[in-house]
Amino acid sequence: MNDNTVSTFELGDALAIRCGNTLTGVFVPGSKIALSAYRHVKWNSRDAPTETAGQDPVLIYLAQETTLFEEPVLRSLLAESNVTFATLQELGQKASRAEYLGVSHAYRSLVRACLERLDHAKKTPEVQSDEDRLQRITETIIVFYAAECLWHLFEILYMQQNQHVVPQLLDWARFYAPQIEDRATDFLLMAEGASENDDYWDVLKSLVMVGALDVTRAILVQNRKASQPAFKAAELILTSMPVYQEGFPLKKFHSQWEHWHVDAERKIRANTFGSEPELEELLQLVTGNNEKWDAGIQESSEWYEFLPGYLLYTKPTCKPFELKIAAANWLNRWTLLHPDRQLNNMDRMISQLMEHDLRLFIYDTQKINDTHWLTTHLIDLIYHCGELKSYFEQNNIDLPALRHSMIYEYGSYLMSTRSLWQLGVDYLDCCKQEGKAAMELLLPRIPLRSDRHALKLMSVARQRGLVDVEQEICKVLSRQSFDDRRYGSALEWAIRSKDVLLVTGIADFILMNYSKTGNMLCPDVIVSIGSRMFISPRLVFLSKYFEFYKLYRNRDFLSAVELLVNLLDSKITPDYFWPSLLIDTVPLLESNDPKIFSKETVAILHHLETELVPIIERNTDKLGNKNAESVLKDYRVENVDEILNIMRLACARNLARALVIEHTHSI
Amino acid sequence: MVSLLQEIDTEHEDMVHHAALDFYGLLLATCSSDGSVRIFHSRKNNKALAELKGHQGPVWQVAWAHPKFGNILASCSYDRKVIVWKSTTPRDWTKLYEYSNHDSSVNSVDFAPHEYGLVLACASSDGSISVLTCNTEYGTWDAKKIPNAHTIGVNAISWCPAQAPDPAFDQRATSRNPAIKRLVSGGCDNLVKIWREDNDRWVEEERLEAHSDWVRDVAWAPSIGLPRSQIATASQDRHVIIWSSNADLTEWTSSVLHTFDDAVWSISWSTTGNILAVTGGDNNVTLWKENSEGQWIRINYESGTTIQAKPQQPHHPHLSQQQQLQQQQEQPGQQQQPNAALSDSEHSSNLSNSNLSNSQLSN
Repeated sequence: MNDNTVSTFELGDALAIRCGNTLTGVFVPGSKIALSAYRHVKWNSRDAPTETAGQDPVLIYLAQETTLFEEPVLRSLLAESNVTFATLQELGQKASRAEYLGVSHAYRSLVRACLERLDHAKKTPEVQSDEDRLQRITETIIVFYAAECLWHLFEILYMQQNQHVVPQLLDWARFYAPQIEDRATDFLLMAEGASENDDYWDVLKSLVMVGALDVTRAILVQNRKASQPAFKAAELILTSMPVYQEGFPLKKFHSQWEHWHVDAERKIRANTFGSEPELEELLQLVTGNNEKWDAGIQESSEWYEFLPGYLLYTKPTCKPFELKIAAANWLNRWTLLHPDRQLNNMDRMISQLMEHDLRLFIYDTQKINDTHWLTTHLIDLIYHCGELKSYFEQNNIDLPALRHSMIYEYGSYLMSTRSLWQLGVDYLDCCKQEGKAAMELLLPRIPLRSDRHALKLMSVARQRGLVDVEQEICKVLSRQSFDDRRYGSALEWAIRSKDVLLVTGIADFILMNYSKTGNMLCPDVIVSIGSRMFISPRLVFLSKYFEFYKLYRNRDFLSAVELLVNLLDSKITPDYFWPSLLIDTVPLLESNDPKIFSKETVAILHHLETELVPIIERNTDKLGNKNAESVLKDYRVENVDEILNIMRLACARNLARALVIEHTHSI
Repeated sequence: MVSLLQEIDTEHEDMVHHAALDFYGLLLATCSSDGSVRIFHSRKNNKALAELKGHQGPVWQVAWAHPKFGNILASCSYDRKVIVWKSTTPRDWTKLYEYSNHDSSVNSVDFAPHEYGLVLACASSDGSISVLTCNTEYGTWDAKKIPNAHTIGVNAISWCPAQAPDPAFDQRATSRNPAIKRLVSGGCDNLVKIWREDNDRWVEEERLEAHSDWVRDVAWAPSIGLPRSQIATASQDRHVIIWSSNADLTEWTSSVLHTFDDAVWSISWSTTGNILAVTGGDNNVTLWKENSEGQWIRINYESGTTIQAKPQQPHHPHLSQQQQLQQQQEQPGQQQQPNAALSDSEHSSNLSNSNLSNSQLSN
């Protein structure tokens, strides 16, 4: 696929095709896009079924960005890299290089561990039998293998601050081409018999080209002809090759190396190895014979495979800045010898790293299908360790802004993905205001699976001062509980949400239900409200009324009367509750042994006349019909009008008795 | 790369005009020319949970209210009616309220940010906009009308988010007051208008002129805490325009996102407002993103993502099969060595594309 063509995702919906390939799409919550066939119908279109009606199934497609992180095996990589990310944020920008290198190693070992887990998972029967998953895991391995390889190279070239890069590059190249060394191990185990393998010399050549001289020698020593002069001479050349040690005077090394080189070439020219052409070829590679290397290059599948080896034999003290030219030359040479091969992204990214073209490198790494895992974490590391600060400045790249946007996107992605949201929080925490705002938008949209889950969400919101989000979640929970008829929990959540209207609404519901049925909903919740009742006058009324209700039930009539009279005087009684509240006084008024004093009785009568009567009048229309929707109901009476008579009578009787008793006592 | 999660057979008898997922993305509502609204589980491919019948004409749009009000859905139709539906379970729906005070087709409905309560705005071809407010305590509705909002008709409507820029971020005292409600509308007079509620009245606050044909869709971007506001508008003049303003919404500047090959019908923002989806007569759904330097780039300019109706397929091929086919063609020679095998197809990028723009690369 060419970089310049826009890759498209095609549907092939029958209805869309019938209508002339029309399609519409809209973002829906959860970063999905809902797609469907589209036909432009205008306000002035004829109101009739469209000609396509009933011909094809009408389908809606939900599409989403593909992400490898749907693979459960990757979950731990996400979680662990989140921890490492947090560690790096704590280190800040003033830590030592060793500490940053430690972080870099940590990231790489996470990927390595993850690759091993993926490899393991790939072999399990359940994955083997699931074609889609197998495909996905295979793809994931490819992606993260690349991520690790690139990260490793980046670390060698830009973080370790090596004076000379060849030894590290050799390790790097060998690590990512393990097949050759695997075969070498086989040969070592076969000892003498190894040379009978058809690929014996090819493998040896490859070993030389990846710079694995120790292994090459070990295999050669086991050869049956090892005692012959040619082999002896080869062994001598190989062992005597000077290897540069960091800190050794460069000039001295160069003269030693030059001496060895001349000596080795002289031996080859002297036909020392005439009897062993294959062995001779190995040594020609070691001395950097271009013709032999060209042949080797043609055998190689990746351009960077043998580059470190070549440098070992031709430029062993290559410095990072010299690598730039060496790599460019090598890549040219390689492409000339592989005319049919087009460079893929991986090839390009490696050359960008070696040629110090980080801008392009960052651009290209964002195209890896890892939902920006690599770029985000790598750029964050670059930002913190500060090694490349001047590079970015020279190239006009605002590194802090780039880092910010990468982390923001990555965090938002995690946050909007089911079950990954908690990991996203730490990333968005780094994005200042925008991160907070994104959390404010995304947190409430996480489906509330359980109360425990909701509490977790709320604590995240609270820690970040997102009070509105916390309250919003409470409101939703309250509504959900209410719809499920779990009124106690609805009331609890409503109180937590501090939404006066919501609390009032639920308290109203409970009170109305009581007045209609005589059944008090969720008593255990009401009893535990305590001082939180002051959020809404209606809740105060509910709590107080409930207190009365309990006292009455416990036959503590005197306290009950006191509370009831207080309630009557409180001016917080909702209109619809007046009948119930007044009827509650009837048994107390009618009690054989009077419980209500004359003064209170007068007060009750007063409330009856000044509160209930006007309410009843308001609810009755001019013709004397009761408003059908009248809120005035009580489970104890059929008609509200009855209350008036019963009450008036009860009050009169009690007043008489109370007056008698009060006056008798006073004498 | 974009992949298909699922296909839902709506079993509507005619074209679907709009599909909307609820706040949590769990329930899908669809509306169709057959006059019905249907409800589905978004994660399962099963039959409709409910069919809502009440309209006598094509239903143009549906909108979900915030879950704190319960499961509430609004639909608007050619039959001039707006119906607000309520459910206790996803299967049981009842009409909560019906509004029929428009003289022509109602084209668009949008619920206000939940902070304002249960408030619904409706845009009609009669040129007016209605704002319906529910008194949740008594279950009564109050309607306010903006007559002659756009001559010939109002096509689309969208609310300004209630979230105001954070004062810590923007020290100026002029930041807008989030308690003031605002709406943006687009109409057949080629205009985009911003409305503000002012003492129980709706007044025209801003008139944005730049389109040269009917404005088909408007979408106010979610606020992400920056001291600015953005509105995207789409028009039959083939332009999508992004309008940006300062924090107190007094100065609006426009920039044309792109000139498309055909009229643009609809636009929508992702949840955090970082991506804009555009669909139009060119039959593509394209995704756009503002990069860190404020340029709008089409996502995956290089190996990107557009979603296209496929022309030549007579049948209804399974998408995953197609994709697999593609991959198989590209994979030979890559499988033996994992490290070697990163071809561009496997690099097919994701929605967020590159944060470094092309211009940066060229300098």
